[in-house]
Amino acid sequence: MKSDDELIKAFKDGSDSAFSELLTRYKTRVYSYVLKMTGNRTASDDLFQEIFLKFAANVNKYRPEQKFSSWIFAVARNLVIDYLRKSKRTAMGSIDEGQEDRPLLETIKSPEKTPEEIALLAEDKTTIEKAFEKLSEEQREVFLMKHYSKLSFREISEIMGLPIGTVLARMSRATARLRKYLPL
Amino acid sequence: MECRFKEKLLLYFYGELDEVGKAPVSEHLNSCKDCRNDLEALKKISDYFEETTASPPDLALENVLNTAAAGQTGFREIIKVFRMQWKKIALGLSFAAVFVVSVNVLTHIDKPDLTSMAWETSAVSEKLDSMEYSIYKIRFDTSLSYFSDFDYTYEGIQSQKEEIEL
Ligand SMILES: [Zn+2]
Repeated sequence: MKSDDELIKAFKDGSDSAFSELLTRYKTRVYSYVLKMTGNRTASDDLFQEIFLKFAANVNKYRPEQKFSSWIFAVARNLVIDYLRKSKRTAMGSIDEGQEDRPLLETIKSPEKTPEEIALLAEDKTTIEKAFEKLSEEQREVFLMKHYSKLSFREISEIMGLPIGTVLARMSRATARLRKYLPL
Repeated sequence: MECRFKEKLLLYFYGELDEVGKAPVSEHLNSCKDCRNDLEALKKISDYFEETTASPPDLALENVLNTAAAGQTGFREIIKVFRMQWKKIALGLSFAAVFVVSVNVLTHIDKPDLTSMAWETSAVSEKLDSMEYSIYKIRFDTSLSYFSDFDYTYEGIQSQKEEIEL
């Protein structure tokens, strides 16, 4: 399997299939992050495209010492923050926009589970969803970024422009808060 | 009372500690129920995230692939246009050079006979006219084909420019 760097180099040299391979590799992680942050399908579809096209347009400026996952999640984060800022402004202006904001309710069922397991999982999911919604935006962000980017706390702290201690403290407080709402 | 292992526990859970770093956390977990509960919460939420991944719709993927490919083509086109057009541009420039030289030569020729000069002048200006026309035509052809390519690529660049604004 080719490394991300090899694929990026091939894409720079004009290989569209290399770009396609990168897209396949990261689409689910990036999209899940964006969707869970925004809670809006339509917005996520747009943001997702914007993220990858930004990469395609800037590929010649891409430095090989950068890690692709760091780069793509940094761009995703910036665009999500912009979106949330804008949608808050819109929401303040007009409340009834018919927004389909349903954070964290987008799920994909695994087919090989028994009905009991599905029921149990569904119950578990709603509990976790509700607990997760109790977190602040910043706390949710660090959780989602950590999980879907698979980057280290050090790398995440660089993306967020925060000391690693701050990121860890934020996540630790988030964990404590989650625990209050989760039956353990 | 806040346990001082909380942040270490995160590094432990996400596998960011080496063997030396892991040992004291493992040991602490035996005696601290609070940290064990944290660990369980982390496990639950991670499983949940894993169970609820979502994929972008095919249309979004297609769109990304097509636009990116068109962008690449866009850049290749610009290079191709320049490679093709420089010959025409060079041709245009050489005609212009010939024109300048001819005008110089013609205006400096001594002509004692006024009638023959008048005749020659009109012949020359006729020649100049046709030369001017051909230069004009080349310029026109060049600009026409250049701009039609340019328009196409410009659109690509314009849409990409918006992407670039970080
Ligand atoms: Zn403890």
